[in-house]
Amino acid sequence: MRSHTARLRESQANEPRRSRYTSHALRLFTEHLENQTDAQLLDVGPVCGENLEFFARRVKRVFVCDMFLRLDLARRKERTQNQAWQDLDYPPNSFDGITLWALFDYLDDQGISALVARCSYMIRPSGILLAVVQDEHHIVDPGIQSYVIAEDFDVFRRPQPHLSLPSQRRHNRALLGMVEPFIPLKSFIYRGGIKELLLQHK
Amino acid sequence: MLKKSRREETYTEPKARPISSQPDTIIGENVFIEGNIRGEGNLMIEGTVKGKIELARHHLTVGLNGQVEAEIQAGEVTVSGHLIGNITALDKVTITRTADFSGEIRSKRISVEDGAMLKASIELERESPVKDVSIKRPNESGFSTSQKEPLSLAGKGAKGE
Repeated sequence: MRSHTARLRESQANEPRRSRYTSHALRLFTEHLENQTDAQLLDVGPVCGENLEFFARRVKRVFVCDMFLRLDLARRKERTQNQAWQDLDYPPNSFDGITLWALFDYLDDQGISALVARCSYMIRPSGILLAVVQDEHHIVDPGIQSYVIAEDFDVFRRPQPHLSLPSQRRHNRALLGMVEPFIPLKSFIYRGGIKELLLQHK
Repeated sequence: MLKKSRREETYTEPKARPISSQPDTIIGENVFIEGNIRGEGNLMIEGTVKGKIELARHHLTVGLNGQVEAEIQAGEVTVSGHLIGNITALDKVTITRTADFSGEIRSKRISVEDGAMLKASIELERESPVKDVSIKRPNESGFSTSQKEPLSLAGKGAKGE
């Protein structure tokens, strides 16, 4: 049976080197979580085994609720997004951190408001959101990709061809104006227009 | 034949015996079971099961057509079908891309394929020690990482690599 490391190496071998980057936000986010007692994390997708294992080794409990799949399902069945958001039904003050890999890029303004409201309700005081967004000027849209955590906080992207959602690029200021009551702590920009944001609950 | 060196003999670690996933018993697609299942062999479920499943050190597979609502204790668990319930596994839980799983997972190892429909909580054996490093707000001093002065979002932003 192949080990996690073997699978990771195999998936990395198929990944162009140029699309890898060392994630500073991920390192800070992880250190924040490791510094909490019995930390709990929520990952809202896309589901990625490597990431779940990465965090599950470092925090007390990882929760996963793949909103990409749920939003995609709602779109395919011509339902409203509201039904998808109802699945984020965790109690208040549940999480020390929430990962929003690329989700902002696939939500309209109403969707972002719904997501931020849910996150604000579920996150603990001083909890952190880790969000990754694509810069508005990099309009190449290769479809939905997961951000896969590799060794030493390296991250690479992996296509998710089973998912299809319309992308929504927006200016940094427009996005930050929509994430109240979270305040920006740090941001990092990488080649290829990848932006990482660390947002803390007021 | 060459004689093994003492070094080789000293550092040879016994390998853990993997749990075979080959099913001894299959619950077929047209079978419905409500109640407790306890066994000393590998089990594959392609039918519908509601209740509790205890397989000690053996392998449970919820097949592509399986519809299971159960509390599960097993050596290893593979989910490819629909499962609502909590899993406690001695070793590994595998969630394949066709799975629709809702519940809690406690295990030593986990494998999740892209595309799996999950609403789950996962608890694994933890590995890293707690570090005394914290994220400070931009106006606080003492940013304590090896990071080269990342700028706050309110300012110009930082460049990654």
